[in-house]
Amino acid sequence: MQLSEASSSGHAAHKIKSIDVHANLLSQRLAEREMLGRSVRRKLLAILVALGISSAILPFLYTRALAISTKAGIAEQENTKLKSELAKVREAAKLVQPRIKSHEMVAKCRTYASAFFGQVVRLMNAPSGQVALTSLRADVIGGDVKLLVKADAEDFASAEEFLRQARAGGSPEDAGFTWTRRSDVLKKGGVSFELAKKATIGE
Amino acid sequence: MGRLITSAFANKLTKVLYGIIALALGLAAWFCLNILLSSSAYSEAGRSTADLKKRLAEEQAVIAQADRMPVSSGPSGLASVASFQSALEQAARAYGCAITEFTTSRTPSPFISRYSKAAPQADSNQVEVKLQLTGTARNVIRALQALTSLDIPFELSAMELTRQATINRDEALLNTSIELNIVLPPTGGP
Repeated sequence: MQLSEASSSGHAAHKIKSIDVHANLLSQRLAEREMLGRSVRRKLLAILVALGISSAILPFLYTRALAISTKAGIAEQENTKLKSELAKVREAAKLVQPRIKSHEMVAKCRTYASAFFGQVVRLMNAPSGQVALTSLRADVIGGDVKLLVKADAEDFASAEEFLRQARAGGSPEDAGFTWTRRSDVLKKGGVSFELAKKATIGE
Repeated sequence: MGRLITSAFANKLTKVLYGIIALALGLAAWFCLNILLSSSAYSEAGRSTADLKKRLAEEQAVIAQADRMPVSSGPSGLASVASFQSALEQAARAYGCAITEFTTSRTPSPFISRYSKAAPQADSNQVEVKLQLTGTARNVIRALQALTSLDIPFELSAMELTRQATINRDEALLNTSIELNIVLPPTGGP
């Protein structure tokens, strides 16, 4: 006769099973310890590498920073010295400025006077024997000299020759007759005229 | 040893590693920043030094230029007007001219050059002079030209030559009216 596995209540009775896990736990722990060991070794190595790189680079950077900072400091000191020297020299230069200005002014005035007389004398020398100057006026303004000449000529050709001479060395439009009229002062049938000329003699 | 290797120890090592890296990076960054700032300051100082040296050379050139100039024995200020008049009288005498008028403005006015379109020089003054000379054209011009050798700066502003009498075919006696400004440069300095 075969006995049923069912209990009197109709439920099957529990089977008691057991597994031996001792071997598995040990190997897992060993693997974990191995991993931890590897990780620690890696970190120690990384620390060593970091220390090595730092000890190689940081002193170099420090030396470089110190050197440049020292150079900048020296340059700054030199600048301060130059600034004080410049202030002294500037003061000395300021003291001699009036002398320089005075000399420059004298030289400039000589040049202008020479140019002024040059224009006047050129116009005074321009007439030929057939032209006689009555008056000559020269006015300077803004670096330009305006010359106005009143003269008598024996004939119009002589007056025109005078104009041609007056134009020499300048633009033709800078000199011309303001007016001409018949005049018998020098010769019967002669002319009286006024000539205007402009020339730049300044700046 | 085996007991030391714990995950807490590994974590501490991680913190140490990160600490070292952070410290090294921080120091490196600080040094690099210092290098950059110092380099910039150094270049700026170099440029400034060059500029200062240039300006110093310019100022020294001005002093050297002044040193090369002869010390003027000419009068300064309003004394130059009196000296000019005296020099004119001498020149007129030397060239046989006569001074018929010599008038000056009572007070100096700011110098405005007739020979320049530039703005007036605020530090100089001028005294206006009107004079009349009688003589031949050649002598009048010579007498006036002689004045340019003086150390007194003056600017001719107007001149009018009018024939007064004819001496011969080549020469006439002229009456010459001249307007000029005696420039009074800024005083001071050695």
